[in-house]
Amino acid sequence: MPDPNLDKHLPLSESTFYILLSLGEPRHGYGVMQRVAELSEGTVAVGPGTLYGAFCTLEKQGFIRNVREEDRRKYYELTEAGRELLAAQLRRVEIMARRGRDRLPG
Amino acid sequence: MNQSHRTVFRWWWAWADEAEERWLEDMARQGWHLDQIVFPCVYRFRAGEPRHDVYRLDFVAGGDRRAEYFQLFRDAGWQHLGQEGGWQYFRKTVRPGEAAEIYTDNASKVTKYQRLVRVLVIFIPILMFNLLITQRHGGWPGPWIQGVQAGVLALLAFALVRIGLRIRELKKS
Repeated sequence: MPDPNLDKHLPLSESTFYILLSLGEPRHGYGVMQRVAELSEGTVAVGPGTLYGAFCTLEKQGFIRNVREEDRRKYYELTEAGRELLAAQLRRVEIMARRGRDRLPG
Repeated sequence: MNQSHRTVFRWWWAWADEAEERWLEDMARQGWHLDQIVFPCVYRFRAGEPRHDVYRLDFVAGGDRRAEYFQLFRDAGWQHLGQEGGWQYFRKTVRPGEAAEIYTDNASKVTKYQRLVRVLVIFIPILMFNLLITQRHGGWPGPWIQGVQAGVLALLAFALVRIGLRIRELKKS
């Protein structure tokens, strides 16, 4: 059963979607920046100012958690709520993709 | 005359920080590289080869996560040049035509200006309280000081309006 409280966080921006997606395993900031570029096939770039803000917000909202710190680099990981949020976003995107494919000729 | 350093005073407004970035980039293309921020609005430049550097200003006041913040910028290839009044100066050397941004979407760029607004509004009650105190005590140089205080207050209000307009513009586009 999807949590209705998640709806107010949807839809996710492209950056937020890929930041969350890259945190399936613990990563630090720069690791996330590289992973986002990789996962999005170069379509999304996340600058350090944007990412720093996203970390603060997502941690406060409980979608990611800080797991450890090494040489001033904080490592974050997706929480259960974060996973649910990603799944909810994915459902929306899948509907868009399916409808788009159905209705766009060629 | 061959100079190795140059000190420049340049006034700028917080809502026009992007114009300040452009200016620093123009200086770098002419071979003047920001070396040090001596005081607010006083920059020291070092002579060198012309470079296509990207300059970016961020606003971060205080906070217990500074180490993480600076490490993240460093890892991403941004050199921290200094700070003045909460404004952080960053530089990144790129290939000609290559883009580099510290904020990659408008929503996060808005938060930079929102942080600035939160700091500026603190000064309003302080300034108003001061104005009230000097008014009570009167006498010379009361009117003169009151004039200055009222001027600062008006400037602050104007700055908040301009920053507010900048936020609205970013939210719209």
